[in-house]
Amino acid sequence: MVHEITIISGKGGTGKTSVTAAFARLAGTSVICDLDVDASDLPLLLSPQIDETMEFRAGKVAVLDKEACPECGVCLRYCRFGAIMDGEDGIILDTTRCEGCGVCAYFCRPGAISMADRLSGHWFRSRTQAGPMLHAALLPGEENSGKLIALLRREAAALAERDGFKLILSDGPPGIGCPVISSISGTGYVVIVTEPTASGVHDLKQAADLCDHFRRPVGIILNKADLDRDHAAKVEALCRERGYPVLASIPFEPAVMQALVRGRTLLDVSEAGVAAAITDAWNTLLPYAERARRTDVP
Amino acid sequence: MIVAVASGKGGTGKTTVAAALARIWGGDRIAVDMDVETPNLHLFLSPSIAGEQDSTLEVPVVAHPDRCNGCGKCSEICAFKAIVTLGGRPVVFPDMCHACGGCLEVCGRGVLQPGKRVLGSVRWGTATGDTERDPGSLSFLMGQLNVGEAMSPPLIREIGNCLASMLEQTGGDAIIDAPPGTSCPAMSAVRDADVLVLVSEPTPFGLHDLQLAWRAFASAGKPAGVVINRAGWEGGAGDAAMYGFCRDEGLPVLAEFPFERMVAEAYAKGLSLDRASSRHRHAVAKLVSRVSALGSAAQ
Amino acid sequence: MTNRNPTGQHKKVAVSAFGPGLEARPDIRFGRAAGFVIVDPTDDTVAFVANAGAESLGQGAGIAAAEAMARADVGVVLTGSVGPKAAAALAAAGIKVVETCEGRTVGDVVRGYRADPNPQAAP
Repeated sequence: MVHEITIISGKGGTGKTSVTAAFARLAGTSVICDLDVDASDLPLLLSPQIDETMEFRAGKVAVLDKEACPECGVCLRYCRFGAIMDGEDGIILDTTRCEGCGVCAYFCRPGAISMADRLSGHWFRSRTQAGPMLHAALLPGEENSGKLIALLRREAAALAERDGFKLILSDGPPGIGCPVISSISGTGYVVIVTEPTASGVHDLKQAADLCDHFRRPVGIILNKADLDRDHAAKVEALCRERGYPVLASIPFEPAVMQALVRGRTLLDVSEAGVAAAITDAWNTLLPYAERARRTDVP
Repeated sequence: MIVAVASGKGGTGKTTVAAALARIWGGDRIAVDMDVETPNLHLFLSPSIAGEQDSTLEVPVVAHPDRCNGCGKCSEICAFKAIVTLGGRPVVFPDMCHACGGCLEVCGRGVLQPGKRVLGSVRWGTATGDTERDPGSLSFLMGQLNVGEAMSPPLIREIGNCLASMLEQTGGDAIIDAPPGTSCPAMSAVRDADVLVLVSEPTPFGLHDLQLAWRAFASAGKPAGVVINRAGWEGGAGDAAMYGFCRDEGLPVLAEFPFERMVAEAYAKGLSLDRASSRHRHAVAKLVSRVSALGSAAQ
Repeated sequence: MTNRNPTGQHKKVAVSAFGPGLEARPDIRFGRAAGFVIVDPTDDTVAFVANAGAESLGQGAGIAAAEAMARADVGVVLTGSVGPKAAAALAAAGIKVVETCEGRTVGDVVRGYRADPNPQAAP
């Protein structure tokens, strides 16, 4: 049975990626996924060796054949995304605004507009010391619809089954939108890394609502725990209310920042019990994660 | 002048910098939170909200199924599987719909009518800026995407439209807190800005994501500068790489805020960067001048 | 192996699978399955419909698969689990869904269904 654990944060910058890297080391060997395809940072800590690079094509983009275009302006009337403009040189298509709906192409009588597959990014099959890694990089301005994330998770599941891995560990994206939904739906266990700040508590609630909406079991890691007592209490209250275990409370420790600058993980920080806290969190969470069932991958 | 505060990476201090800029900026200005998935700007500006409205997307509704002859043209034109023909009738999946209007255009039999799907809400109001300077008015505008809702660009576009009409009515400047990252939502938010402020930190993550951000935004041709937060760690080892990158790309470093626990504690309480200390307030005032100059030089 | 049971299931039966034929391994996923093995109970012919949407579609793969089932005139889908949109699409098309994938092969799954067309969900 393959178990899947996904680490998210709601708010960015709480330490999600550092935690995932530490867990990857503690797990010994697992299939590791970086699902933060917009700003993929996990490779910076795990130094993967890329074995294969694949193109990722999502959706369509309109392509204008200027020679065939009679400049009738019909397409302009239909486009709801402001992607078609009337310039000095005739009709201009702004592909950064193009939603790929294909309506302009459908109504273009002379057939001057066609829909092409859109190259949105690349994904990679790689190797790390902690196991195989699946990661990706979206091209700038591309839609992060969750499709690429779903692809990475399917690949991870297939790899795990084929090669007999028991665990998939995923670094999720920030926020609560489509990419996060794609990362957590059907996963076995979600770890939310949060911090005791006004922003952190606000975003924790959103992330928690999302996990509850999708009925995912949740555990919390409170990072920079001693930064603000009031907000730490709010985090703890939320956890009690919703029945989330607090897997670890990691103090605000300058040595962590130092380790990050050097490209190291939390396990390398022995000060203030940081390494011990992360190790405890892992040992606490593992039985929960193993009990949870991983359902259909979307 | 429209200032967009962005960052490749989340958690570098984009919102606290945006809030500080908005507070200290002189004259009439609007603080805008376009990070609609996890909006935090209001936590630092404590605005009084004067109004709120639902942000909706126009989606098809099967108003007259009896008129349908099962031709399937609506399903054929739909690129998103939001409307499909099953059992001889159209079936709509509203949360797949991108509101392109294609199905409504193509159905000649009046089966479909435009309906609404609520994505989230837009809220507006006023806040108090830094009262020591000539305050002007600080207006506030934000959006909140409903939890579980997938699409943020339509809501961001709507906020952009609200901002445009507010600016038309009152003039003045705007400071936008953009979503993190460089995908569609971030691009939508910075699209109409006159000047970009990129906030980063001197860690391998911060540098990597600043490079991604610059690669994404550079082609827009807007004047841009960098604010380095949590600087000065490890005797500047991380800083050197960041400064090197900025120099190579011709990106001015507009301000540098050293790593200090005191700042983190102020942030935790919801106090924007300018309120961490009088030294910080002074530094933000300088940053305001530099950003303003960068924006003016281009205009 | 004809089967005319009291619930009137003369219609074609589809099983989500990793490949064609009755010996193929069943896939518990509906929307992302490689394809569907379709058995016609009137003459026991076996066909295979590849699931084009599995790779090409980001969202809506389940809906596309439901459309494919409707086009192939399937009456019952046997699969592991169906997401809410796919479920709604199949219901709109009047296609019955049985969430079961008990069996090593597609043939096992079909036999299991014919023995018990209306299983209770496992507790």
